[in-house]
Amino acid sequence: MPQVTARTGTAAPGGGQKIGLLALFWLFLRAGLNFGGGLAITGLLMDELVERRRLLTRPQFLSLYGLARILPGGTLTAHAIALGYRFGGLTGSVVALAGVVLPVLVPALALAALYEQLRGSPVLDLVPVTLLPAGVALLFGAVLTLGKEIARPSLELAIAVAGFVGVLAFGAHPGILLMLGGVAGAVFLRGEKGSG
Amino acid sequence: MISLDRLLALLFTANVATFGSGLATVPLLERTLVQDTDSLTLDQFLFAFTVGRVTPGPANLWVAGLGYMLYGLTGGLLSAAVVMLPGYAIVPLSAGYRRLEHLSGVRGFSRGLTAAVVGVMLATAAGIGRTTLTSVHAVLVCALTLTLLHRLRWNPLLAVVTGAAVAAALNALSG
Repeated sequence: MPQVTARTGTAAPGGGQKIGLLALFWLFLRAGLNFGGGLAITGLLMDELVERRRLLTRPQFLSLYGLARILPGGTLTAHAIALGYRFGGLTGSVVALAGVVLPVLVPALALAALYEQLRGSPVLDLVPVTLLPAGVALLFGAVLTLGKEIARPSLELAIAVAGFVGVLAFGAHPGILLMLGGVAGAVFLRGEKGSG
Repeated sequence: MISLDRLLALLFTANVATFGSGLATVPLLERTLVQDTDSLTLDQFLFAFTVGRVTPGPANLWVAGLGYMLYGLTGGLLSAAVVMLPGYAIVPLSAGYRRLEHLSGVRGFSRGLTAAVVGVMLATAAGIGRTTLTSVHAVLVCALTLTLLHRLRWNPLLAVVTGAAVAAALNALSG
């Protein structure tokens, strides 16, 4: 494992300090292995990069996080790309991204392969009665987590109710409802200080 | 069955439109892949989703499992690639961060979208629940898992494995 050389000049394309590619990969892989989800991974990266290795200041780390957050298409992946790019250019971004996504990519592909292999075998008959009812709980859990933010009378609650009724009662396409919700937010929620 | 290029276009659009929330893409993808094009069964879809949720790492990459089920390893890797690539927009945008952040319309859009996601997600969960939670056992297992996950804050993998083990035991007991 190459040693990390903190606070040594500004040779990296992002203007930041240096960390070896292998160390970078290992750091993001360990963060990606965190089961706590996006925020837990971000917390771990901040602890490692800001507090322990002092490769970035907290505002630098958080401004990249903020940018990743408002970009469409995945906060965690964009943040990993930004941090990796800062420490090792394009190669660094690929290395950091690989580290953080492998812990989900490998099991997702391997278990999908296993599922396809087992199709038609009696083992798979167990999946609908064991794994899937528990899996549905994940969906409801997600609704509860997301819903906490808007569980008070507000335009946001009205948008949520409209989305629910639109899909369930009118069979409207979810994509259209999500876009309408976003547009309503852009028009009516722009001035407010909100939870998000 | 959906073609590979349409699948990739769908995943790309769904991911970008929902700001990369792996959860928010569920209603969109379920409608297109399960209901409209019959490309996957609901069981396959839910299996891929569950695997993605119980593994660590970025949530939106669960779609790699869907890609694999439809088009093998190539489909899986390409599916992962199309949800990761938009992240590269961060490289040119890093410099202009503050300008974008203060666009109140962008923040409002994001909040409105999140609100709509809650309603649409609940509708999707209810729809999927209607076909999956068809026995008393299944309802009990779902409620147990939800309690472990949400009230007791267990990690998702442990909660799902426990729920599935209880379900297996209940099924074995009832013959």
